[in-house]
Amino acid sequence: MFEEIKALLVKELGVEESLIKPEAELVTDLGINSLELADLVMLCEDKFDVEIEEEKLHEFITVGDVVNYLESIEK
Amino acid sequence: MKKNGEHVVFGMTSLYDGIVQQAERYGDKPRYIYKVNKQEKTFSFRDMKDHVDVIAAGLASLDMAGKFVGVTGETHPDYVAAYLATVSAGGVIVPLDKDILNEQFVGFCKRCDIAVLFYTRAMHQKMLDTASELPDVKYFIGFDLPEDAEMPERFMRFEAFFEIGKKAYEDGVRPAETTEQDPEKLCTILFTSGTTGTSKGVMLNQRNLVTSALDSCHIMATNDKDFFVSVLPIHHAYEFTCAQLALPNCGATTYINDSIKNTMRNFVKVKPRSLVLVPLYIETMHKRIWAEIEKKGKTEQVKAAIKVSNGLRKVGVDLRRVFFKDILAAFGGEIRYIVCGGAPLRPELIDEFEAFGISIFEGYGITECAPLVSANPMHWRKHRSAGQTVEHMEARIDKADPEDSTGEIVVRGDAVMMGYYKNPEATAEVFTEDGWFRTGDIGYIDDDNFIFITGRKKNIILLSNGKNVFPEELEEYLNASESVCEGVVIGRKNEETGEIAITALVYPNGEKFAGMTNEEIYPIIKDEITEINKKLPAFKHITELELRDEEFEKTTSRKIMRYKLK
Repeated sequence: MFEEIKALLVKELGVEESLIKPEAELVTDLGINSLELADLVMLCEDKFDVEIEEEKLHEFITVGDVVNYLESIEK
Repeated sequence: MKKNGEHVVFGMTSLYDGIVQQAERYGDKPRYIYKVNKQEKTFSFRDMKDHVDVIAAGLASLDMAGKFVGVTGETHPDYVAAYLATVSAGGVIVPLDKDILNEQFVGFCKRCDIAVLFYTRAMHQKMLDTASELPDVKYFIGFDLPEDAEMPERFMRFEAFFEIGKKAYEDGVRPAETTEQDPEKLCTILFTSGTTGTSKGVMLNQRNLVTSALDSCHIMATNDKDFFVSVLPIHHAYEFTCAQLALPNCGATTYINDSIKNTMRNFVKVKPRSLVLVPLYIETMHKRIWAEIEKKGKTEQVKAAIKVSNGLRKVGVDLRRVFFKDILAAFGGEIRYIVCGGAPLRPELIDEFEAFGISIFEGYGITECAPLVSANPMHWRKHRSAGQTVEHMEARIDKADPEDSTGEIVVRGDAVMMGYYKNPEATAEVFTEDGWFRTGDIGYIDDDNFIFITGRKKNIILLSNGKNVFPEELEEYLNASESVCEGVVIGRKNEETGEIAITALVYPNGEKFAGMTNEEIYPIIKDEITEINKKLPAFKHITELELRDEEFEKTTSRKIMRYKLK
């Protein structure tokens, strides 16, 4: 899952690949803004065919948070 | 009715008059398309008139007509209906930011003696949490609340309230129809950003709102064939006046963006012809466009196409909608123009969007002017300009010294506020002796009457030698650097010498400096500042640099809270 999120961040949002680690903070370390974060959620919804509540947006601080959440709803 | 070039602008004498006329003109055409529990619903122009009539009757039957009424939440047709009904029944509506902290929310409600609060479903918990601190609020009325929602005393579902209103209306209680719509009477209070203590309540009347809405209709070539996607917070004067009041008056249908994550999907679905946005959206859209182009390996191809297309346009051949079809498809394919306000936009973005076939028109507004002051006309745009004043506003530059090239922009006209609520001192400060409103912005007006803003008066750094420095000018240089993610310039007093040091506060670009410490980054940015200083007169030189580990704290409209920086 981490690799798939990483690929989305690199390909769709133009984030530098070397920066993407599970503990990297989306806003502070990867420099993505609130709208791009919303984009990431949309891309995850499309790719994994899931629905993510908007409230979750505020809970995604690190790349790992997104990975963990997606893994939890896939089960 | 007034013809402005190719489109018609319909007049209105009051907000209620506008609603009545729109219901007659557009009838069952959808005014809004919105979602409740993922179900798409429509709300027609006639529905709006009916809801305004019934809500006004409901307020009257609860003895709440003419009172101060709060409204908070995301955009919803009944948010707008409650707003218009309150005003039409002679009351004062206070739209409150849905994202402010509870303490500030309570503070604003108390300051305005709010008697009724309308709110959207997402705000229910906030209302429950604050109700005990708001004993003077007689009714909390929630739209589309879930069936199992907790409903303590004073809480009411909008549906139940609507039934009360409907019965009263049928019994002949019709305050919206019978109340005299006095254009000079206070009808809304909008809080400016800041803390509870520093935020000011801008008092507007119907003359202000109607003027600004009609001036918006004039500058936007919107008509009843148009679809529009509403994405900005509704409590802002910019979104409320320029989108929620103006666009329906032209007959456009508004699709309410149900979630920030669905923005791009909704663009594709709704195919808007125009959008009302702030720079953050345009910056993000720009990044997405290029990321998409790069993903497809077409960067060089698109750059070449831009050159060819720009060349062809010079000889009168416009093939942008063919060349850049795929790019435009991401916005639904019909997009023609974007109105951008709230903060200045980088001119390069205006050029690039234009190259793709999307015209961006920058405007200038402030809450105190309901908000529209000026805009770049459709036929004549100037880069970096806030445009020409709209029909009912005038602007003048008040210079401290006649030799100065810039001065404070002062304005007057029918959209200028009545004053600040319960704050005569602050009101007196912002009006000149001859009655013009001081915007607090510094700039100049060129020979074609285009306004250019060069800085904010309250941000000016006053040096000990008496010279003024506009931090915005220095920030423009600073933020153009790839090393800088966010940069702010402030004046900091050196306690030992008493001198004011021009200081750059920089949040470095994490991507560029990956794995580097601040000690390593510091000399690199310092060298860049030395280069910037070479372009500036000595008194404007940035002498101090401080690196930050976090981005700057921002308001809910994403502006840096400059007043918090020391």
